[in-house]
Amino acid sequence: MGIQLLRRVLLQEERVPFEADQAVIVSSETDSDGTVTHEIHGAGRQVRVNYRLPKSAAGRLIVNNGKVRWEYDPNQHVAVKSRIFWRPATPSTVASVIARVCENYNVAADPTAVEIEKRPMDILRISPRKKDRNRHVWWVDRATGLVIKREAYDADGKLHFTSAFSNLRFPHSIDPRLLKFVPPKGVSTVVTREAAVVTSFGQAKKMLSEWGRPHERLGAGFNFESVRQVTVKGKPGIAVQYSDGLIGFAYVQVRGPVSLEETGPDARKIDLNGAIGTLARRSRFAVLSWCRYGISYNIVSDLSERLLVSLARKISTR
Amino acid sequence: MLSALRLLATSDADRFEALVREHQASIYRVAYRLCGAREDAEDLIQETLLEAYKAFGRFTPGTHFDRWIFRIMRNTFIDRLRCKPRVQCESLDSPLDADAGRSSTREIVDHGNQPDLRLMARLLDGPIQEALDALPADYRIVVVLSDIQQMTYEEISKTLGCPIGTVRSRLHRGRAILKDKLKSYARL
Amino acid sequence: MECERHNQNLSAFLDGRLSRKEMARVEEHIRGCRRCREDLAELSRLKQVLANLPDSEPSPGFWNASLHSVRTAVPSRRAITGMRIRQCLAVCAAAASIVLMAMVARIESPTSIPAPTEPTTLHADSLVALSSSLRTELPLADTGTLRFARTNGIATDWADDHKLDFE
Repeated sequence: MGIQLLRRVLLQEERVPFEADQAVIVSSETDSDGTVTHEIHGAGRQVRVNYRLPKSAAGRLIVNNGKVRWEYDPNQHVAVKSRIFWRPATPSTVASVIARVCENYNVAADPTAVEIEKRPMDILRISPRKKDRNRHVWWVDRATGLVIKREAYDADGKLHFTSAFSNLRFPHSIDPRLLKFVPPKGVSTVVTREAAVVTSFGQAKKMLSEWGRPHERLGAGFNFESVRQVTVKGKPGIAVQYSDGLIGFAYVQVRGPVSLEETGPDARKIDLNGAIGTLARRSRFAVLSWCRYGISYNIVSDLSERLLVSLARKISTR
Repeated sequence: MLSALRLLATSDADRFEALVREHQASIYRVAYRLCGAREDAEDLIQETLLEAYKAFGRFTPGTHFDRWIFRIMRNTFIDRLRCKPRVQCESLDSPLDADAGRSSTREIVDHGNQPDLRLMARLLDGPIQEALDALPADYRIVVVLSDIQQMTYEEISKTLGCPIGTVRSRLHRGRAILKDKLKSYARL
Repeated sequence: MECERHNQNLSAFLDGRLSRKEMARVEEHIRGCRRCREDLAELSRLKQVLANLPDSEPSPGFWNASLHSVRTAVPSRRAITGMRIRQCLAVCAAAASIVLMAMVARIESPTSIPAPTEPTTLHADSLVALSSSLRTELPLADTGTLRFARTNGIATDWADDHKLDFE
């Protein structure tokens, strides 16, 4: 039953238009972040998000029409436009995700009857096989297959993440005007020039030969997902995404010479079997960096530090 | 080596800053049109200013600061191009529209008789920048300095340190390529 | 070909860089040549459009931040000797690395060592921002379950739930 529910969630996710408020709270080992947004979701990843909280983000707008994503910050008079590298979920994509998730998680439906906003919910529990990462609980709307509420607990049983939609409305379709964005007068537009995302490992190998051998399987259930060329502070680099089917992290290499910033109260040195890494925290993210032969290696993730360091050790020794 | 690193007194730093600010609009304009994107332009300017400041002892006061900066910018720009990884990624997606962020659309624009030049320029901004980005660096630099920054052949020749004949031929080739590329966007 | 010769001069003609004799020759040619006439008209309009391109602005505070960081990045005279020594050390370290790498049988990283220049400082913030920008969904709320499902790998056939015994 669990797998079927998961499959339903994955298939429905991009097909149900809805409008709602969303509250998200994430906590890290040191503090928490929260946002309240008003969101309008169309089919196929189309979305219009209006930030309400925190105050510093209030008024910020994200508009994604499936091809292009706009992010507008009225405080800065800047609109950032980026291309979206996204493909609709096919049953075969869904099947591969389920396969990946099942490799690393136990997926089970919880029979407890629950309602949210008078709507019956089915509860999905996704628990990691290795006790080194979060376990997830999803409340799935029986009528639409939408995940209305999520909670994630860390390996110590503490609540790490929670998100919930409220004031749900399910219009038949979304007014296309809501998914258009035209920068207001006086606003500068920045067009991000991102390289295409490469998701085939075979293609990635050819592309990355200059950067050492990329790993397809990292261990701990994390596999290669995608890679793209990036520029960090004017230096060429690559960003590789690894995932275990549900969670993931970015692995960024930058061609130096680079020195790593060592400030911040939480910055500390980690031994990575030969290389010395610097670990710094930025709210719920941790950045673990090390340098070798003029290349800077960095892992950016919101995984637990324990998992992060063990993954870094696997990468740095190969 | 030490002799080149002359004493950079506080007044030198202030003079440098004053000169940069005097020419900041031009500096940004050229960097932006060379790079095609704001963030890249800012990075290029950052590196250029750093190099320029280090070499400020060699700048003769009273001479053309902008030309001097543009020369350093050109060198920095070419160096950065060399550092880019050789392998280019094939895009998996079909080509998207031209950068609508610059207020242009990929339509055939028929201008009839006397189009408003500023309006037309604004509409073509995106495709023009795209076409500029595709020009070889040497042609791009000359077109930007001549037609966007409005420098004369002599000024460009002195800035880039190449003969006027080279400026002339590169400018012609650059414009010809641009003109052909833009044919599919609009009847100029 | 006649056209090619004159075509090459069109730009210079437009910019007023031809001698009076050369100008007269071009004018005579285009009187009779439609192709070059059109080319000239297009070049002229291109030149005008380029001259009228709108200016954009750098990000707010860019110039202040830029000039400030340039001032702080370049050392004053007192530190010059120190900087020379650091550059020396960087060169030596690079040389040592080359030797070391030659000794290592399996080379994992690229063999080119970049020349020692001013190192860029990499900040955790830019890396976090970069990783967030790689996610196309909402910041702070990864509601996209399929975010990690863009692989083109071969789909395992999991259609038959009976193969799985998780419940």
